[in-house]
Amino acid sequence: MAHTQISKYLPPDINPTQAAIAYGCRALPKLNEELQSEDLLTRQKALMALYDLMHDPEHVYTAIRIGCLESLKDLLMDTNDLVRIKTTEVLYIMATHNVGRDGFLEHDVIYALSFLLSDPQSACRENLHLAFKHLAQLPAGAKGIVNSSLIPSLVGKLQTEEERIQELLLDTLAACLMEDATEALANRVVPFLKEKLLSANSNIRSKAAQALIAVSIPLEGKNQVWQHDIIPILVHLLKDKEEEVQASAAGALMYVTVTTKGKYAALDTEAIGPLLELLHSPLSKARLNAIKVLTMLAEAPEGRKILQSHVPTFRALKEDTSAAVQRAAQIAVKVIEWKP
Amino acid sequence: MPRRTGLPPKPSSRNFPEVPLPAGTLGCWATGAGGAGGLSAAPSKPSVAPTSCPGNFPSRPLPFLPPLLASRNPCPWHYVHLSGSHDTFVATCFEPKLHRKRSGLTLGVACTLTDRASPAMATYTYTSRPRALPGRRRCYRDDQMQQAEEPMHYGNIMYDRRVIRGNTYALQTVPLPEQPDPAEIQRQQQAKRRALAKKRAQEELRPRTPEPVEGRKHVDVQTELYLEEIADRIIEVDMECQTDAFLDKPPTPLFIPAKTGKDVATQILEGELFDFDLEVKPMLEVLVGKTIEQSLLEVMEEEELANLQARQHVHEELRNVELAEVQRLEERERRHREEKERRKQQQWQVVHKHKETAQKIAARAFAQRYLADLLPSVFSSLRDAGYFYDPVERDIEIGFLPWLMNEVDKAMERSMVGRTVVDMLIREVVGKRLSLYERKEDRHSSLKPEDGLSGPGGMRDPPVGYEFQDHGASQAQRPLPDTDSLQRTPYDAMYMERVSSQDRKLMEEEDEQTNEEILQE
Repeated sequence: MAHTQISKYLPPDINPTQAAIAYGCRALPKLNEELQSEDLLTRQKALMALYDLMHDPEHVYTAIRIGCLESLKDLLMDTNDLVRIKTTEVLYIMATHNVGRDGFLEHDVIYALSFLLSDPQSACRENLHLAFKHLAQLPAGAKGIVNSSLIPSLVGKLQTEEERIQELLLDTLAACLMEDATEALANRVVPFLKEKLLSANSNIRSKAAQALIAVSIPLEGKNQVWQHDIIPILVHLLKDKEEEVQASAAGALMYVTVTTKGKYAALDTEAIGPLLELLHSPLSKARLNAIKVLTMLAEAPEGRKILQSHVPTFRALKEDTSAAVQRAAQIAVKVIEWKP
Repeated sequence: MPRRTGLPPKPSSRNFPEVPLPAGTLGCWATGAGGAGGLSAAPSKPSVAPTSCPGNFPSRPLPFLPPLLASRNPCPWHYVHLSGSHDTFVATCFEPKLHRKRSGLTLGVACTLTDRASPAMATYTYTSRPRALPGRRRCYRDDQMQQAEEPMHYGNIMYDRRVIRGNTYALQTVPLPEQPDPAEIQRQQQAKRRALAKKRAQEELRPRTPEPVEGRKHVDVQTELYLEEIADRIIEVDMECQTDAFLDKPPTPLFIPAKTGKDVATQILEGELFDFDLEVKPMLEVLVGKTIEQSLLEVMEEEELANLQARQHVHEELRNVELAEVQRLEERERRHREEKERRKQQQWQVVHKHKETAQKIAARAFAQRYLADLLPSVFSSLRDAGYFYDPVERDIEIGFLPWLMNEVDKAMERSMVGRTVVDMLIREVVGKRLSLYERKEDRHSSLKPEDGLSGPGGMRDPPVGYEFQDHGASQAQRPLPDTDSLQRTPYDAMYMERVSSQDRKLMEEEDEQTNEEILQE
């Protein structure tokens, strides 16, 4: 039978890996102080505790307000691997929240993070790229990444990193390139993407295709894509097994064929056939993109000639479930039947 | 106070003089403990309780006291640490203590170790060892009293007359003897001397052993069964004893108040005070709750993220499509515009060309017409300009007529020259005549020269001096026509003019000739 007395010993530490979280509003300030302590163990424990707390957006807000980001930035430079890994994890979690993203932009965390691009620990880099990816979802964040001239290094990393991290990089790049693609184009991103399109990993292929979509929005990108002969690869990818890949390839083609050169290049590689098949794909994105590409191609007289016979398919698509597809189909019909 | 004496047991392991076993039991009389117990343990064990030194049997030689050993006796006062090096003990004898008077005993009996034993091991250390005071000595020694004379006894305090016995509250206080009178002192001294003398006398009367025979010596010999070592040095043994401070008072019994009230019993059954499940519940709740909270947060976060991603994808799709549409339209616009531009250009060029050709045609027509009557007009103008000429006529004009004129000129010149010569002659003559006449007139000085004569004379003079050529001739000739015109008849005037003109011409021709001559030269 246990004693009714209150024991004079402190309760056992059930989780010695975590620092004790103080009660209520003292939790974060205390952790902040512990983060700045000289003792390695204290810092590590504080980081573990912080990681748990950062899943709550309110805590994220409070943490940023009391200046946790400064301590975290200092910890990024720490020599101990675990500390760095944990810090990047914490930052990544913060980046999934909008408050965190804003805080990142205000406190210049991107610059501090960029030092870790060549960190020897792969976990560290993975978290880093996850943080960047989430940051890039926000337009302001993407702009921030572009402004801090990280694009060249990111493009360079595309070559050297592992697959997992490459996927993240491609996502980040896709988002950033939507914002501003000129710098990347200057850094030969198109040949890299071309390689990635041929990769074995289907995730990488689809993400590379999405990045290509972003690249080919500006005119310069379209020209480069045409120059590097990526259009045949894209057409080939239209027949890929993965639907995502197909859809993304169609999207890239959609942009590339806006230029006349692109149109004729696509027509030369017999793109119309796979595209017509894609019209029946279950993925609405694929259908949409395919319709768009065909619309582009129909502006060229040769394309129009071929597509005239397929007008009924388009009419059928006007009854599609997705409103966007209906609209697109309408436009396509109009374009095909246009007489100069 | 019970007094115990006894010999200590023989510790065989020690270098120790043999000591006869006591008859009685040893033990600490103070605690009453363990004497028998200690002894009844293995007698070989040196569990010895140091005995108290009884000092009260002067007649009987007291046994040796063993040195104090590490006693197992729990008596705290007889407990003295001894190290292992204390093997050498010197037996102490409390003989010298016997010599003390009975009455001069200090409180309790203090036993001391010899100094041979480590002084650090003694319970007390002294600068001067306690010793029993000799009894009956004066505080102030005025006289030189021989102490050996008096029997020095130390006595037991219990039997000391000086110690007050009984209750002290009804004491007949004996007045303190002040300084005794010298008479008193004398008397007391006398008494003492007498006592001493008496004693001495008695001593002498006492039978003594006879004097030794010559050559022999009395020697004291021990005749008992067991020999006794008689040492010069007095074996002293220090013994200590101390009373148990609080021994007198037995422990107070527990105060158990008398029982009052009703008897009520209670029993705590198993699990009534502490029920694990109940106690654990809040803790478990907290633990599980926190974990679940955290995990919920994380899951929700992920879900949120996934939702956001999905929405974002959809939005991106739409955006892409819209963007593509926009770009396509832009492109189309651009193309159309370019097409239009080109066509416009073409059209413009066509129109331009058209205009040009029209202009050209017009220009050509006009030119043709303009040039149509060019030829006749040209011819006519040329003819007007005299480019078409009759060669014969021309030849006559160019060749013949100048020659003719020249010839005419020459002829005229000749005639003129002739006339001039004639004129010159005339002038000369006239001049001479004039001069003659002037000489004559000078003499008369009344003749007016006639204008008509002077005129010709004047006219002739210059030709005489025709070296003076133009200037003079012209000067002469200019006034000539003027005067001639005024005064002469028109015929004469005309003639004179003609002549003058001819003269002029002649002069000119002469000039020309002279010029030609100069030139030819």
